[in-house]
Amino acid sequence: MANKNEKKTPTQQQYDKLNQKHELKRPVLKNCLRAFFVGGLICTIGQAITYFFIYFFNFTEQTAGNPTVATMVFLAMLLTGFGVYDHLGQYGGAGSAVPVSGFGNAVISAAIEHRTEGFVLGVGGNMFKLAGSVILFGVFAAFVVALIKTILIQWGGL
Amino acid sequence: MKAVICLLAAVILAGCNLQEERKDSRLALMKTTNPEPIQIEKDGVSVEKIRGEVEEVKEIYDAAVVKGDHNILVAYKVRHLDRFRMKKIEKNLQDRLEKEYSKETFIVSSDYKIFLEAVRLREDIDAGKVNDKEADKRLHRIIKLKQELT
Amino acid sequence: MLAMFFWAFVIGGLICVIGQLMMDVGKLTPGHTLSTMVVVGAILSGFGLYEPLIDFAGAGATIPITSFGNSLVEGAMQESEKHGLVGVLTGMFEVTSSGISAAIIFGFIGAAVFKPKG
Repeated sequence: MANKNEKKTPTQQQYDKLNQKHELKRPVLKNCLRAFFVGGLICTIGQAITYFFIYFFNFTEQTAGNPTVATMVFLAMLLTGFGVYDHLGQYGGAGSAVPVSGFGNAVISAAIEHRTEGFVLGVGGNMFKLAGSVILFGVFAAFVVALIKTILIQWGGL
Repeated sequence: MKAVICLLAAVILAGCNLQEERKDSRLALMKTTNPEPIQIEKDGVSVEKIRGEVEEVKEIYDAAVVKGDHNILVAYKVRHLDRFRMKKIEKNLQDRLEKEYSKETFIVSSDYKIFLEAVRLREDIDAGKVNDKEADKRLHRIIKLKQELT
Repeated sequence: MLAMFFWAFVIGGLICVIGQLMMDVGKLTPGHTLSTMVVVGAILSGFGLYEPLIDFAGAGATIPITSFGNSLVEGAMQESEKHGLVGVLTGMFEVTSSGISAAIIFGFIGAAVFKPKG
């Protein structure tokens, strides 16, 4: 970028700056608003599902989280299968990627996409292509954190 | 797309009609219900007194007390902005109650589910659906629910 | 309960905005963003900060991917209380299993039922 700017006239540079400012600023705000609404909506649906499990099944606030997550992933499967989640992803950006349904979408869309290569090599091998890094870093970070905490508790008397 | 929406609508509608419940327990989580405390076991301290004690805590706005054979269940709701400190409130309340009534065992919970079940038990007792023995059984089931960890 | 829905919306939305900012301003790919968020969730959990957030915002905190890191740590810590250091290894998936197993099962069913597009 810096090299390019040097060759341009001051007016052009100014224009570039102006252009850049406008081009970057607008989508960020808009994307954030969209992410906020889509993400918030997904979490609100999750909350409704949690209460559904509390009301009609024997789950407490503590234990309702697991079936809620499973239900969200199930819904993500339906939406992914019918091709709705792609649109949602385009509109909501991180708002649809950050909730667990986004994680489900990453796994499921990879599984569906590679189905033609067969179930073992295609589906099995590519399922975690996108979501694998999330699992890897999540597990490793959790391992380190829990290890440090355990050591501090046992020997540091925390 | 339409199929998905129809399916979702069907699920939600089915969920709503699943159980025709009495108004109080259906709205137990939405508004302050202040259910009458239940005294299954008549000896010992009165549940009214315990409820008064619990409601003195300023973070708590709704309390259900059930006194059984061995345990006293205290379910309550915490004001929303104080939910950040929910674990601490629970511990404080437990300590306070145990200090005050050292002979009794207290099960203290802020979980909505526990509260809801306490309200449902209250309603079933009012409707004459359960006798004391069954009520005690129900109480034990609620306590078991609370002790599940994950 | 209505307050719960409100805060679930706000906190859940805000977490997603943070993710969007990481993607737009930090120029990270979605994969990097999600991995970072999981790590952040694990670290917050280590300091005991994630649990109060769940108490406060309910699904607003359990649905975003950050809670994956939290529940991994939670499971490891629960198990390590019982079995010491070995528990850190064995307890990791104790709490989290539902999200991943659901993703695997529904992913497989989805692949069997739906046809790839394009």
